[in-house]
Amino acid sequence: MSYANETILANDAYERLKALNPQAPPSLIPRLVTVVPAALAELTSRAIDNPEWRDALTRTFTVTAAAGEADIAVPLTEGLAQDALYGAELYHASSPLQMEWMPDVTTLALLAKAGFLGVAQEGTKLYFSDIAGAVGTLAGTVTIKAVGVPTLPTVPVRLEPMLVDAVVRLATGEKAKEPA
Amino acid sequence: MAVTRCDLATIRGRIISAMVAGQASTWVTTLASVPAAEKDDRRNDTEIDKAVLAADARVCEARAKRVGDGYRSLFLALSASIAHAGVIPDHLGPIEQVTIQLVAAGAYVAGKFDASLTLADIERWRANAGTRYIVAHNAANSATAGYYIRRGSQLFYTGNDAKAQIATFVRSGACQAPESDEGMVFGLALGDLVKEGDAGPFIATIVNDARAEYAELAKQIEPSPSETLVLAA
Repeated sequence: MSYANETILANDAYERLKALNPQAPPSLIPRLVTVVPAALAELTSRAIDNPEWRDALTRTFTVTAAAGEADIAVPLTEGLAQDALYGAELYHASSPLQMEWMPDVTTLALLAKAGFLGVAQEGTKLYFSDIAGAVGTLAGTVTIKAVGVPTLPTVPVRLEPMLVDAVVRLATGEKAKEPA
Repeated sequence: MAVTRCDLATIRGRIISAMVAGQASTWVTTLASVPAAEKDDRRNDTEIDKAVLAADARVCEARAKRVGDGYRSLFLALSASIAHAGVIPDHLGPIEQVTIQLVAAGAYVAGKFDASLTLADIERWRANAGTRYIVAHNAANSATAGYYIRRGSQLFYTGNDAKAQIATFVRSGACQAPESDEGMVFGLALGDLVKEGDAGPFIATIVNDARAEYAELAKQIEPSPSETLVLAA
């Protein structure tokens, strides 16, 4: 399936509403378009608490760190109106440079944990320290993985039914159901 | 199948038979062919033709105005382009379907209207303030394209261009009413041609029948429910 644009999604949501209420007027369709950004945000918000859905919305960004500091302003915005990284929440950071510090650690996921790689975020800046707590030593490329609000065409197919559901609910004012 | 229209010469001949020629005359379609003994110098062919074409125009106009009339299609055509907030071109009776070209160089599709649509909606969608509707109303894949609303004779819409199916009638030198209306056109024209001393019971019967038939035709057919919404647009 995959939604190439908002009109297709609004049409799908309208068909759902029309099935529920045959009197639903076609002029609803443009109104449904306006809730798509909110539906994407809600989808992300709900997905972040579900490991399976969270992985589907996880995006990878690369930033350059110098003297233990990396600027994540670009991945935060990516030129989009909404934040690319949901809530600016970082949950994984890694760097090949760390292999020099901790040669016995081979799982990058482990490096995301603050105990192994000190990571602190302040605004759009990330600060790194090594295991000994030395700040300002890391330099090189840093990979960040975080949940981001997806653009419509990048929503995974398996999350599309939830997205349609979110549009319908936001349009009708119903509350979201808890993730299964 | 093309509908055969009334024939001017035939109706002229019938008028000559009814008003001028005596019982012994043969079928003629011009006054010049009427035997000298039966000629009526008060009349000429041009006068008869003008009366017939005027009667034809009345019948055509009635059919063109009448929504649901089987012969309205003879007078329906797509109008010229109508600008947003432009006036719908001159027409007879209610307009039929509004068609909208969603994007430049695109096809014209049926315009959408429903009771919850307002002029404010149309204007808001066209403005697309803050790009809340993602793309412009006349851009490809726009969810806002293709809606319209009428305010009197003005048409407001979203999309690149609009046309409306309208009924018009332009008088010409030939009859345009369908052939089945010949008796009515004949009777109405005959009524217009009556002069002092002509009004015999025979002519009066023909004229009265035609006028009654015309009065019935001039009544508007009650629109079906599906058309009501369109007409209210």
